[in-house]
Amino acid sequence: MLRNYIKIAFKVMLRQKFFTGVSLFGISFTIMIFSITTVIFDLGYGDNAPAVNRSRTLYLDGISMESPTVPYARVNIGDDFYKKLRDSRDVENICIYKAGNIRSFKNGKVIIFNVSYTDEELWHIYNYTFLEGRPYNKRDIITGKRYAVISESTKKYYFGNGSAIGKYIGDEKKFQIIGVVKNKVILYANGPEVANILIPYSISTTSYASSNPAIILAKSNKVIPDIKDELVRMTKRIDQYKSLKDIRIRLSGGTVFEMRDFGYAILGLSIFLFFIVVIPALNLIGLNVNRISERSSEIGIRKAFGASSSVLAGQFIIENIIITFIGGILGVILTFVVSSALVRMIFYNSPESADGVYSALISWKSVLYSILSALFFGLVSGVIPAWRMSRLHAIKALKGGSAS
Amino acid sequence: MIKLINVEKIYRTSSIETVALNKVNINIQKGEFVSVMGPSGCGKSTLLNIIGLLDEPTSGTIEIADTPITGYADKKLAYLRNEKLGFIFQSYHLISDLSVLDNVEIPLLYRKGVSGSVRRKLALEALEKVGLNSRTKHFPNQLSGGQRQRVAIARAIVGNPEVLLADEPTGNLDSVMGEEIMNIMLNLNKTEGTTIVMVTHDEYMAGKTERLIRFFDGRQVN
Ligand SMILES: Nc1ncnc2c1ncn2[C@@H]1O[C@H](COP(=O)(O)OP(=O)(O)OP(=O)(O)O)[C@@H](O)[C@H]1O
Ligand SMILES: [Mg+2]
Repeated sequence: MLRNYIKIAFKVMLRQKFFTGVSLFGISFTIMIFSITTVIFDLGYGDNAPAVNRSRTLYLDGISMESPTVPYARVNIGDDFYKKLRDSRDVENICIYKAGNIRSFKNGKVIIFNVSYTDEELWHIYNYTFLEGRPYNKRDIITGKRYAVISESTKKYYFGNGSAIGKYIGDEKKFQIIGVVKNKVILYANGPEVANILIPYSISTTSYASSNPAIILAKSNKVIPDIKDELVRMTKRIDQYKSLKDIRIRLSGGTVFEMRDFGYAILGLSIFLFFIVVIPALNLIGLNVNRISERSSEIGIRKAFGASSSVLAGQFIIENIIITFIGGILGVILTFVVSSALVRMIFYNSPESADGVYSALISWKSVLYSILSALFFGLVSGVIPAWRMSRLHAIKALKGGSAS
Repeated sequence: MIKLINVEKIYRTSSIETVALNKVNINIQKGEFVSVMGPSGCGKSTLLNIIGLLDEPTSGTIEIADTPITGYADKKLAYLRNEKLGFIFQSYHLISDLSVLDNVEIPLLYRKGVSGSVRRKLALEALEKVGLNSRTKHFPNQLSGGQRQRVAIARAIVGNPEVLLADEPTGNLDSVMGEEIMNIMLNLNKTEGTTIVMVTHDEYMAGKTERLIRFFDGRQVN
């Protein structure tokens, strides 16, 4: 029986080419949008190596203050400040870093790399996979070694397929490469994970005090507000602010969930995608209901010749599952194509785009969820009308259908 | 073969009540070819639908293919329609998305244990009986009315039913085509012994059958 159902389904699909085409497009498009949205969400909010533990990570970009007598000033946070914060019982670890860039030449072209100057705690807070070499350690930092750990794509772009360990990167001031890490696509992150090159912070040329972001790993995400309070309290206790009255302290940065521009961007994108997905889905449901009603004469005929209601419902459901399944496969292919194009567009300016090392915006988990959601849509749009139609009275079904 | 005792069919709509069949008693023997005539709206199609187990009587008892119909469970009726009955409609009622061969195979599709190759073989045989074995891959809209009705007959007989029910099978055809269709049915009745009940408006066609039942206003009048 199942084989007959499948045969019938293919015959009907081939005959109703327009409906089949529209359906397949709708399903695969829905899956593509769902997959890409979930991946963007995951990249934005989820834990993806190297940025694990995101939910309890506080990205502190800086602190500013304001008071009736001092209009606005950036607070200079020094080493001591972070040393004290490290003693807080809510803090598990702190990585101090600084962003910058270095220029390098390749084939007569200038390439600008994103650089993060970090301390050795980076390797504890983040989870980097070393493809070769090693991270720099505390001693390398104290002794001011001109070392660099570079990303896989940077290595490929700059050095090709061979080993990069011991080679140099940079223009007049060169850095010796001691490690290569696997890189990942990370959107909207602000921290060393977006860097192509990691360098010990002790050799940063910009003065350390002028800009002093840190990644603060809390013991749990519940204590993040406490850490913020602690930061405010500590700032107020800094000698030069102690005497000021009505001082207001502002922290910039936050957890990934709090960064406003990111939040709004994602919200806007989600609403947009929601409509892009929901409108075709509703159309598809309507089309499906319509198509099955158009087949009422077929239902009457099949009943007259011995199909029971349950057999007919089974037939329609199988038809639906097959079309959803094919749409699902097309959707996964479409996701690969569109997401790679998207990645190329987004990362057009980085060296990574040149060799397309960034993986496509796709993950098997998101594909699975998308196919499940498409199946759900398929079932809702197909099974309910199929069930209702299959129960149609044979005579009424015959009268309802046009003669042929 | 077919027995109707005090069968009544009443259609109730919100405003009116139509008595389509009024205490009908009919007994049809195995192998008979019966035609049913009467003015429009007198209940001929209703009678045929009840005999064909496509519709339930309001009251009365029926026996189809020597099987008393007691309950009206969907699966049981589907089985009887599939095994014992064959239908021919005035407006052919072929599935336009399926080829001639696929249309003819439909009754066998719902029969247990009939393989694809057997289905094909039986369908081709049925098409040969109606003289249409050269157009198996055509679709219904590529055929003339007479050819479509022959496909419909092939579909009705492919499962070798004991009873053939035809509701104005020649109503949409010209007299030459109608004659052809009539001859196919007469031949079936003679060679296979199929019991046939045919509704018609055509006295000439009715005259070719062994027995004529006249209907008027939901009642048998002869
Ligand atoms: N579903 C229905 N609801 C209400 N009344 C109906 C229904 N089907 C048929 N009738 C009525 O029952 C009566 C008998 O209808 P039926 O179709 O059996 O007539 P008929 O003899 O086949 O007519 P024709 O020769 O025009 O086909 C008619 O008065 C018709 O209006
Ligand atoms: Mg009628």
